[in-house]
Amino acid sequence: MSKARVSKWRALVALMFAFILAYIAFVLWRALVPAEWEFSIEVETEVAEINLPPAVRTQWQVDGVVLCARGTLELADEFRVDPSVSPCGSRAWRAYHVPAPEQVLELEGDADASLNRLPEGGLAMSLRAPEGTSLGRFSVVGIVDDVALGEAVNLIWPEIPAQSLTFPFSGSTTLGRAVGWSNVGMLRGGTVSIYTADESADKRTLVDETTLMLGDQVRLGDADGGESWPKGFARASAADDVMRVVAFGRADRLRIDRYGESGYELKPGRFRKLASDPAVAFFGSLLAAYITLILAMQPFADSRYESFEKWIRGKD
Amino acid sequence: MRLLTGLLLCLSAAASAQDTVSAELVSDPFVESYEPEVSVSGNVVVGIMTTAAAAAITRDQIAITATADTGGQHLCLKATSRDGIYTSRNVYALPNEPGNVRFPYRSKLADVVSDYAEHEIALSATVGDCDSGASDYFLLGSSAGGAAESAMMYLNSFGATDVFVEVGGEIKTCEYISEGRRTTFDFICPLAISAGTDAVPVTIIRERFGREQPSISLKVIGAIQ
Repeated sequence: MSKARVSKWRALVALMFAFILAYIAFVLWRALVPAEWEFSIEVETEVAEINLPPAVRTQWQVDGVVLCARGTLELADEFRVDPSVSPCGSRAWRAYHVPAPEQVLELEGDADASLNRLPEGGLAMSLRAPEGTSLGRFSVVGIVDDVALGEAVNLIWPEIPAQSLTFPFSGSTTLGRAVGWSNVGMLRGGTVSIYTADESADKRTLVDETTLMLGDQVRLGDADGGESWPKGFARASAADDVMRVVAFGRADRLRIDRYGESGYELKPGRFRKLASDPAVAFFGSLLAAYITLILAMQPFADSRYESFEKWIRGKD
Repeated sequence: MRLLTGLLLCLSAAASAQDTVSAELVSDPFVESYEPEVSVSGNVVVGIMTTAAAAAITRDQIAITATADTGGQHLCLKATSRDGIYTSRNVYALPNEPGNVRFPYRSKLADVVSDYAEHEIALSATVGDCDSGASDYFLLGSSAGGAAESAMMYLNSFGATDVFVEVGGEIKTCEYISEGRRTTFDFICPLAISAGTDAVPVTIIRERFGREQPSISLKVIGAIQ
């Protein structure tokens, strides 16, 4: 029985078709599998909410603040603000002010922060922890050592300090507020950029970009963020009447609520997704090179190049 | 023994179903809308209902316990989604006799309503027509009942940072809704009303960064047994 000989040419061409089919299957799989994107948001807003996750410590420098606490804090009486000039509101709140720099608020996590620019130029922030727990501690370097905070604290800056206020955070965030006539603040505008979620930050590529309009509400991060919470910072300066907030984090989509629409989810389309997929591009390039090689070899595999034809077609 | 218990339960359910009478839908046609362009009403109170009432809307089992002095009166039933896109407001005529009353919910947008999860749609029922501005609310529940029901109040805080609800001298803290579109209500308050009680005075206290906003006083009538 003679051993069947397989032509090298046929094997190479068959291999090409196999690669094409495998590549199509790979592309379909990449198109259907959920992808994660790196969302970067930069907005100007009058209101922002931050949900600080449990066990994630946050430290903010709060120079110039009037600290409003429900109940008494273990601060010296000299730091109590006279109730007649207190910006803290009702008598249930006690006002404290330490006229010194380097005031630090250390939050233990599992707290909600709501930041509002005040129409008269200042900033107000409410901090709430679950009932019966402590938000964290307040200290002033060299003057006040770790004063325990309760579950509810308001921070009020009647005026923004000259050096501005910056609040870095790690947690889910809602920027702006869905428009209704009862709203007291809203997002003024901004941009959302979507990048490929490549491990190496220097290799990420911009996939899509969209502009946020006055009155939009955008949320980054879910209640169950696992270990990768969005990060960002809010900055308020005396020169602006809004806060600037930058936030970035991984997600498969981003929710934008816009007045006049029922809200939409921002995520790149399938073609944009494939176009920005480095694996699709890499294997596509390899396949293209292989097809080009086969097409280039094809003219040489005929009778004019007898020896090559014999070798590649397996003729005797 | 099990057979006897089952029989008793069946008889009890049948008796309960027989006790519930249907209110007459006065609004014709049924007034509801699904509009992405939201207009928010000026009410702080958006819904007062038991947890069972959320599911009752799709099962057409919305019910109250009518009292003797509200017999024969009109009642305004409002449903409001949290995003403000779905709303309904319809007038019903209560029967003359006190007892459990079911409100036929003739929605043509049942698929839209069923898409809203629990705590995303609030129901309120006030005595009188919808433009009467009444501050007497019925506690809405389900005609299917539920022994361990708890009551909730859905509020539009109008920018408040803290909301409290006072019932019978006891003050409870309301929970802020931090996710999603909160166009029509943004706080949920637990309401400590035991079954069968009549006209409970409730006070809503709101604060914005410590500054008290005008408080709201109302009465919540009845409860589903």
